Amino acid sequence: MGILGGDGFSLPVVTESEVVDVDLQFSDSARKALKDSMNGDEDSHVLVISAQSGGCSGFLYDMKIIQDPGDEGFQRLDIGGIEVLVHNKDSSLLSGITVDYKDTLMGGGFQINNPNADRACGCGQSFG
Amino acid sequence: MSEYLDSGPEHIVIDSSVSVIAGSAALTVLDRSVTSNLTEMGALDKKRTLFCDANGRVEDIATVCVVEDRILMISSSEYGDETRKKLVDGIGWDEECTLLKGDEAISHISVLCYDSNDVIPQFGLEKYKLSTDEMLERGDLLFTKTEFDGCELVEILSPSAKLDSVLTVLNDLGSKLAVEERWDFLRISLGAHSIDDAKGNLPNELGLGELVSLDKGCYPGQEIHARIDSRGKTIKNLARLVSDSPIEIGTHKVEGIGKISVTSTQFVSGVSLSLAMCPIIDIPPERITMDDGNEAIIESLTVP
Repeated sequence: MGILGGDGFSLPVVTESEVVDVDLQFSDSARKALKDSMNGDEDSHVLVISAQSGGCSGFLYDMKIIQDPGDEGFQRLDIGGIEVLVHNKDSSLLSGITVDYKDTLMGGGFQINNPNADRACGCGQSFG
Repeated sequence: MSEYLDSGPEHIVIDSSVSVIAGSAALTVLDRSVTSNLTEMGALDKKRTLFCDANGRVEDIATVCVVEDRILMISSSEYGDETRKKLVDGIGWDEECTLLKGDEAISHISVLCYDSNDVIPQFGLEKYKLSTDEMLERGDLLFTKTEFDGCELVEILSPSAKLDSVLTVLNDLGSKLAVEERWDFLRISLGAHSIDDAKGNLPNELGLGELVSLDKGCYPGQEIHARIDSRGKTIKNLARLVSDSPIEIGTHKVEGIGKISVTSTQFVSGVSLSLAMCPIIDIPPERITMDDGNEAIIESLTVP
């Protein structure tokens, strides 16, 4: 049966996360870059902004353009005709962020300024 | 430093936090939160690792092992719930990963002996040798060992329902069940940290630099660890104090050294052993006088 096959294990551990109404700001350059990245798929695809553990400061940002997951756990915002999704579990970490886009060869791309973060990593991808 | 061991083995049931992490992203989620590189771990591989804060200071110590297609993690009982919360909070919305609490399901037994080959044959493992970096599976028991100077620590993980039968086997081979104070005394004599010694200190100060991977990429505390490795100088480290008087936990002013911080101490049979964070000085005195007038000898540690 093996050591993990016995009794006494808990149900999956879940933690309470505060859910807040998400507010996001996109700079003009970020809106344009997002529109370009969507490449005309705005009707079927969405941008998901999320946070997960890791990075030097505790949490890492993640941004993905994916097909709409149709998940009720997300909050949806319309940014210039493009749907941007933030999961409820990340809402308190990400509400209030400003997304910018820097068109430079070094250190360019989407950048997030997060007023909720006490600290941020030098590379800008991690916060805590 | 096995001079305090009795002639036969001694054992205790350790109060540990046990977690089982399952799902296709389990190793990824765990790896990005700890100091060691876990990505190459295979079945029954065992690794010790650290959870650190963003300032690089130790928050918890864990031993992880891949069992079947899941990860078994043993960490400190004091901070187990905090560590589990940190892991669960960090699971991405699209990651397949669940974490179960197994504190009641799995018991952790530690056996201190001169040679693990005196212990494991009693469990039907006559033809096997224990490894320090792998778990050995026998039925629903897991075995591993840690080597110290002159002795070995055998660790057994067992379903709690079978704890009594494990203790009976140990009793039959003549191992003595140690009381907590005796066990803590032996632990300090071997220089094995408890979480109380490690919490809030940097890995290199604890002699745990081996548990920090400097090329795995980002994890909480990585920037600090990288900076210490390239530019830093360790200014204090964990040492053992030996005295014939009890020593109190806390900060002490010591002439000729400065402030030392005693994190663990036990006074058994007229001998006091302590672990303390001490400033590193070029020529440390052999004997120190504590601020309460007690004298002690400072010994450096060999961390397994």
